[in-house]
Amino acid sequence: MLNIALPKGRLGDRVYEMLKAAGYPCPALEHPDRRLVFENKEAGVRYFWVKPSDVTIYVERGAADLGIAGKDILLENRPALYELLDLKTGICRMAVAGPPSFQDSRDRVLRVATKFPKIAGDYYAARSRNVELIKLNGSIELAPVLGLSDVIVDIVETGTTLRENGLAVVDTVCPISARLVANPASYRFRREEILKLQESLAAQIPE
Amino acid sequence: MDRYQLTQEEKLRFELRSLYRAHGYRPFRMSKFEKYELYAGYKDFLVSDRVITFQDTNGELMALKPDVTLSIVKNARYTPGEKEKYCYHETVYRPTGSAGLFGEILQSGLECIGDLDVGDEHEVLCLADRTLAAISVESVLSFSHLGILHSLIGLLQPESGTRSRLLALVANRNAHELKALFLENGWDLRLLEDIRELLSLDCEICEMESILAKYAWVSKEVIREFSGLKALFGESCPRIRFDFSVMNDTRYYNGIVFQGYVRGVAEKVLSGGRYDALLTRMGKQGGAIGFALYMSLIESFFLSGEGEKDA
Repeated sequence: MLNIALPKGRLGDRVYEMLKAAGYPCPALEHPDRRLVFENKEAGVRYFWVKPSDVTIYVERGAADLGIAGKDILLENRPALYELLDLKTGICRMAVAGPPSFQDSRDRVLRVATKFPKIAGDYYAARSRNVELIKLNGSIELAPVLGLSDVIVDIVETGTTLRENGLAVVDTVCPISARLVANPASYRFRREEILKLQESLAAQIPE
Repeated sequence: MDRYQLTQEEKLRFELRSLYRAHGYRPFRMSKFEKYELYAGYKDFLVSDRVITFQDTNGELMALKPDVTLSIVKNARYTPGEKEKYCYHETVYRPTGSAGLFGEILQSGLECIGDLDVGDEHEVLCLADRTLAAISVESVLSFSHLGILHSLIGLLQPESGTRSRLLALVANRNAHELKALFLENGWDLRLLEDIRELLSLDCEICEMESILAKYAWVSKEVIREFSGLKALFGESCPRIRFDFSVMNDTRYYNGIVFQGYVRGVAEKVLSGGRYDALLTRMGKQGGAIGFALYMSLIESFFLSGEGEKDA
C-alpha cells in the first residue's frame, strides 16, 4: 500500500482527479466527511489530507511514501526528497511586487516582506543586493501599503490581489507548480510501485 | 528477565566492533571537544555549519565535536605504501530534526586512510553492506561514483551556480528541471538522455563496467575502477546497487560514494565514500574512504520493534 500525502484544498482536489484518472481512485475520499485518511486496498493506495506546507514533512519523515507539494514549499524548506514529476497544475509564480512607482536604488538597504525568506534571500544574494528580510505569515500585500517594506516576494496567481492593493509585479523569481515528491527510502524499497504510479500519473499531465 | 541481557543496539555495537577489528580497524577514542579552528575551515564538510562553541580556561575557542572524520584525518600520518584503519563509536553534537535544535547523535563508523587501492574500496563497501545486514535483512547499500559526474561536468563546463543546480537536480532525481537546464544552456540533449538513463538504472556493482563503457564521455579511470571492483566482488552482490542520485559534497568527495537504507527507517542510516579531496584540502597526502552509521536512527528502529521482525 502506497501512502500519499495530498495538500488540502483546490490543488489537492485537482491532483486527486489526476490520480484517479491514472488508476488510483479512492471512492471514500470523494464523499467528504471529517476523516483525513482514506484507503483503497484494491488500488493499493492510502491518501491523507494534510496542510499544504506540511506535505514535505510527512514524506521526509516517512509517514507518506509520496506527496504532492508546491515548488514554493520545496524551494523554501529544501527537504531531502526526490522530485519525480512536475504535474503542471497549480501553476503560478513567485514574484517581487511593489507599488507601481517603485524604483530600486542600490544606495540603500531594500526592505523585503515575505513568507519565503530562503527563496527571497537566494534571489537577492544572486544579485548581490543588500536586503532586510521581514518574515510575515500572511497578508503580505499590506507591508508596502503600510510602509513596512519597499517590496514583497510572494506567490502571484492572477495578480488580482496585488492590483486591488495598488501593487504590481516588478520581477518574476521563479515559476511554481505542483510536484510529485517521494521519500528516498520508500523509493528504494517500493521502487516498482512508485515507478508504476509515476508513469501512470505522467500520462495525465496536461500538455 | 536476565538483568544482564543486552539490548539490540548494544548487541549490534559489539558485533560491529568485532567485525571491524577482524578487518584490522583499531578503535579511535577522542575527546568530546576539539579546537574550533578545525571546523571553522571546513564548515561545508559538516552536516550543519552550526557548532556548539565555548571558551576554554586559557581563552581558546573550543567546539563540542560535530563530526568524527575531521578529527581522525587531522591525526592521520602518511607513510608511503601504508594505511591507517580506525573504527569509532562516538557522540557528536549538531542540530537535529525539523526544529534544528542541537542534539546528541550517536555515530559508529570507520575510516581507512593512506595509500589506498581498489581492494580497500572493496573492503569498505563490504563492511558497509555487512553493517546494514547486521541491522536488518531488508537493507540496501546504494552507490554511485562522483567520477561519472566529474566527467559530465568536464564536458558541459557549467559556471559555478549552474554546476550546483545540475548536481542538486541529479541528487533529487528531478528529470523535468534537468531538461529545462539543458535547454537554457544549449547543452547537447543526448547527454541529458544519458543522465536520465543513468538515473533509471538499478543494477549491481559487477554490471557497472559494461554499462559505463557505453558512455564515451565517462572517464576510463572510473571504468577501470569498476573492472577492479567486479573482479573482487564476483558476479553477484544484490544488496549493493547503483543509484546515480547518490551524492556527497564534490568539494571533499571524489570517487565512490554510498548511502545505506533499512526498510522501516525513513532516511539513510549510513553514509560514506572516498574523500581524497578532503585530505588534499587539509594539506595531507594519500587517499581516504570511510562511512558513518547513524546509531540514533538504528536505536529508534530497534525500539519501534521493526528490528525484532528480522530476528
